[in-house]
Parts: sequence; structure tokens; C-alpha cells
Amino acid sequence: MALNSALSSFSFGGTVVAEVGTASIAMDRAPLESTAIGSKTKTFIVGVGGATANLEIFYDQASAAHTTIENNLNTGSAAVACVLTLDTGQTYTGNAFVTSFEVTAQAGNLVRANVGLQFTNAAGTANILTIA
Amino acid sequence: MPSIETCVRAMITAGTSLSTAGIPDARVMHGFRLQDTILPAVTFEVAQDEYMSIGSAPLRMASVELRVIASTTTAALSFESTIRNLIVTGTFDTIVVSAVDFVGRYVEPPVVADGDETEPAQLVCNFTVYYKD
Repeated sequence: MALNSALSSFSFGGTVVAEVGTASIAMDRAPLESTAIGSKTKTFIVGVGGATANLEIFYDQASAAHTTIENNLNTGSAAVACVLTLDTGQTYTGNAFVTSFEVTAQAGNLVRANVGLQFTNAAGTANILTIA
Repeated sequence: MPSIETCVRAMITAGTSLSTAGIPDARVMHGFRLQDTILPAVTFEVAQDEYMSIGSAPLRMASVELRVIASTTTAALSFESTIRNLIVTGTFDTIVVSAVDFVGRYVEPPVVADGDETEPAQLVCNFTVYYKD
């Protein structure tokens, strides 16, 4: 069944971020090559996984969540819980800190900010994110 | 029931500036005006309405085309500053307008001809309204 993204939300540190135009999470696990000398074909083992998130928000300093995100980068604060919740309540959960925050004011458009987030796992956690 | 159309009409007719300038609220109409009715008048249409953000109360964007219809180009242009000053943020018919953008305007000159081929001048204003239901 397809899901309607109009009813999704993204929370940062327990606060739902207002005016999110786009929220995306990207997981990756680059393979590690283990090809032996003399082998004619490459072999790989499962690599180390990670995840990043990206938000495009309609920026407003009057929005508490927007300034919280901005200050996370500005002050070098620790990772906080981030949750992408889809229409049906399905979630992607992890701890992330802000790695980039770019505000753009363009003629004939709303002020937008692009936010980059890096997920970091707690020690001993097997999965990149909690998907439920 | 409030809608973006009633919201835009409430925005344009807010206060008394438009009626003081010469267009009473009764001459502000959605879509069209009857031929031979009194000029000047205003018509408007919401050309496009779409979601801008995710969430249960998403930000929405509506493109509005507003026409000030008057007998001459000069008469139509005389309402431009009044219209620009009316397109503002605020709450109109319970709908919260968080941002507005006056995109631009152009003038359609009057057509001088015989009988019903005569057409008045029109100042066409395009603006974008960002709002929440």
C-alpha cells in the first residue's frame, strides 16, 4: 500500500519540526573488498553501516524546533533522538546531530533551510536505525 | 465554511481601504462580474492550490489572480497601491495566512469598439498566498 507523505512528520529531540517540505533518510553500508591475490573475481564482505538524514524546511526563527536544530550545529551539541514517522505510524528512529544548516532566501520564494543530519549509533547497537 | 476563496475575499475587503478607494465590498466577486454592472470592480480566482509541507497541518500554497476592472487604464492602475497594501499576512475568515508574495502585475488595455465588443481595462495582479487551514 502506498503512503501519503502529507501525513508524515519528523521530530528532533522529541519536538516535531514544523514546516518540513522534504524529509529524507539515507542508509548505506559500503562493502569491504576481500579479494585474494591471484583471484579472478572480486569478493566482498559486509561493510560498516551508517545513515544520514536531510530536511528541507521553510525556515522561521520563531519556530522553536528550527532554532533548536540550528543551535545544535552552532554550539556543537550532542546527538539527539530523531524520528521520521510515516502516515501509518511506521517509524525510522536513531540518534543524530546536525552537520550542515544552509538558509536560502530567494526572490519570489519562501525562506528555506537545508539541514544535514548524521546518525551515530550507541555502542553495541547492531542496527543502523530502529525501523518499526 | 472557510475556504481559500473566502479567505482571499476577506483579505481584499478587510478594513475600508478598497471601498474608500471606490470599490465597495459588493463589487468584489469570485470568478466573474456580470456585464454592464457598475465599474470599477474586482474579480479574483485561485488558480492553483497545493501542499508545501508534510505533517497533519501542512503549509499550503495558493496562486491567486486578481483583476481590477475599470473603464480606463488610468482608473485601473489607480488601485494598484491599494491592492498591494491589502495583500498581507494575518487571519482571514479563520484561515491563517503566514506569508504572501506579490508576484507581479500587467495591464490589459480597454478595447474600444461598437456595442458589446467594448471591453474595460483590467489591472491583473498575481500573488501567492501561503496558509494553513
